[in-house]
Amino acid sequence: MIARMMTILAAFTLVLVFQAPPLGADETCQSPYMPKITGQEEYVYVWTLGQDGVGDESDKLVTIDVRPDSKTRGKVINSVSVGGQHEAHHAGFTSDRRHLWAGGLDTNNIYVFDVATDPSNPKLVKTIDTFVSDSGGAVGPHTFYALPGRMMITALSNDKDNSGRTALVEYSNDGKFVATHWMPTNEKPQGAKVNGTADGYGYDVRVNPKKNVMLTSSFTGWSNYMMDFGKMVKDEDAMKRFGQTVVVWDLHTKKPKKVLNVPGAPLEIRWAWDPEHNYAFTTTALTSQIWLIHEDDNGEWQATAVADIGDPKKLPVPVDISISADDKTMWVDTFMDGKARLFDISDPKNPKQIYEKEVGKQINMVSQSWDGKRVYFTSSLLANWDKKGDDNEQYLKAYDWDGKELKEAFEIDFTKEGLGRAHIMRFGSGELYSG
Amino acid sequence: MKKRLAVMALVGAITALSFTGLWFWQEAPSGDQRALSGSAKPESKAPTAKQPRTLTTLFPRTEEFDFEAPVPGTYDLPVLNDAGDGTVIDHTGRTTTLFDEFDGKIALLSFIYTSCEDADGCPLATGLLFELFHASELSPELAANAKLITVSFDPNHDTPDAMATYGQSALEDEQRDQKMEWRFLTTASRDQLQPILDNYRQSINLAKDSETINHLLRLYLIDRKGRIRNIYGLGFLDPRLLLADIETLLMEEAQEKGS
Repeated sequence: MIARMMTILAAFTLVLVFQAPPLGADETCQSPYMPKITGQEEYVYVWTLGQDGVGDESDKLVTIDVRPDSKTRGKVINSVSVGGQHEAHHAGFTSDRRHLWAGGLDTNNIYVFDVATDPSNPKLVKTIDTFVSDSGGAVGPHTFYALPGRMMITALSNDKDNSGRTALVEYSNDGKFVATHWMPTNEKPQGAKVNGTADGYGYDVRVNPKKNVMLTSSFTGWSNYMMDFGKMVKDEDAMKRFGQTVVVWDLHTKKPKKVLNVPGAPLEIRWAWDPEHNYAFTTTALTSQIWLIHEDDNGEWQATAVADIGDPKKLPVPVDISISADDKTMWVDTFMDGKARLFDISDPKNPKQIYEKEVGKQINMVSQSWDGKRVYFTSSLLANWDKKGDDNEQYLKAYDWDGKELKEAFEIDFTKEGLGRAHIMRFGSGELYSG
Repeated sequence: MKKRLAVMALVGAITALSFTGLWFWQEAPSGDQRALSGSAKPESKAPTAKQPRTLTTLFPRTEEFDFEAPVPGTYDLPVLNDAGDGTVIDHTGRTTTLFDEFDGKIALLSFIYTSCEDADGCPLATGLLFELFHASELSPELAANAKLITVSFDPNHDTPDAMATYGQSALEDEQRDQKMEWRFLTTASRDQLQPILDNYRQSINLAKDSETINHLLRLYLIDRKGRIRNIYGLGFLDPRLLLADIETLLMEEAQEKGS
């Protein structure tokens, strides 16, 4: 009877339930809980740092037209200045993709832009300036990751010692504070198993709903990310204040389950897309490695270094990554040598670099279209970490990828245009809001 | 119209399957009903002392939701927002309000339209609610304290009669008195519907064929005080998660009463 009942339940489940939701990629790197652009993106929004002596010197959201048949393709068509320099960094859409939240790592302001009413011309509709007090002391709102009806925000620091000890902070989509989840530490592991150490640091967040798993990575605190880069690398104590953990969380309960040892400041996290591919990648900025986060044969989550990126001894500093929708390749940008590197990740335990191109004198973010045929790069890492003088190129460069090489489609010089330092990109389209 | 009938037939088929599944549940040994279908969990391990039997054991771990269900009461459900009110019409044509429909119970609120054919859309949400509806017969506590509410996105087509047909299987279920109440609601017009959608931040777009309504699949868990305690979308529509959350709210209430 039980076996028969199981069969019925299984059949019942198959009828009713659920095609696995797509796991986000930029388009291949977004939350699975929002509509995605699988065709041609129409606009690229660039959250841009104000720079002294450039334009109005303020942080701004820049909109670039990328519609193939548009007369203004490859041009800046709108720019919304938020006034002042806040260390503009990352931005993310709400789960209905109607608003873009953009954070300032220094002032902790969060700017909410309406991108639905007129996707070609975002409007600033709300500023949240209570992040630190709301959260109980978290500093540096970084990743904005959409969960149904709410925004999960990783912070980078805290207001007590400005170190990397920090928290995840939830807001509702209309900007009301919901909850703070402090990262597990050695002193307060919160029930998590700790492999090595629990530094309590934060950086990125990504989820795999099928496994009910949320991963967070770890970077460094306000005292480092606001310090001059040259000064910091000579400061032995400062260089000790970098994250060395990835935390495995229960997505539903928001409880930490395990702290994985991933030394060298693991930054961006990307889950594979295929429902059967229950693994994620991250890269370490200081040790220049690709790490695989995966389940072992016993169902335990583990972290394994699976490839070097360039020559780690030369400190290429891998920054942003972008996985393809078919899980076969991943772009890895290395800031110091300005290179975009493509890795074959079809064997996730053995990634191989198959292509590289020097995009500029410095490079940071990468975003690819759903089909992988268009790839966009920007230049700025952090205001105090960007290169100086002529090496401080600030740009958005668009390329076509034919499977063999990147061919430049257009370039926008953010300095000449009076815009500032180009950081994260997000795609927009009017198709999302029409029938 | 063919589309609409086809969708209704699908819901009917779902219901029939549900009845079949429940029939087997009813044939299982009586006693601790909550534990009853725990043995039907094909892939998960038997509950241990650390993992108490809960409503979540009514459903199996699946390939789509390949994890152990959370243990109710071991986590918080922070308030996301106040639930919104609004004028609605029930399946008999009676005008009422959403707050009156909540009726002081824990509510699971779902927005659908009856001709929706998206496999990842309304049929999925309604199918999930059918699962919970039938499962509630095995838990008097769940049946007495929780309620299912389905509201149409499409007042132009989803008349009270259409909602009555859509919900017929539940509304006429012979054991419905032992199950959670399930209400099927619509509105008089788009003007009446819009403030409700705004309250729940549900955006819809009418497709060019005017039959399809593009929307995001969302279910809302609302506590007795009219506060939204969780919002579910694709990837969260595991009945075990919803049951764990309802049970967590019930435990929270018991704790508040005891303190």
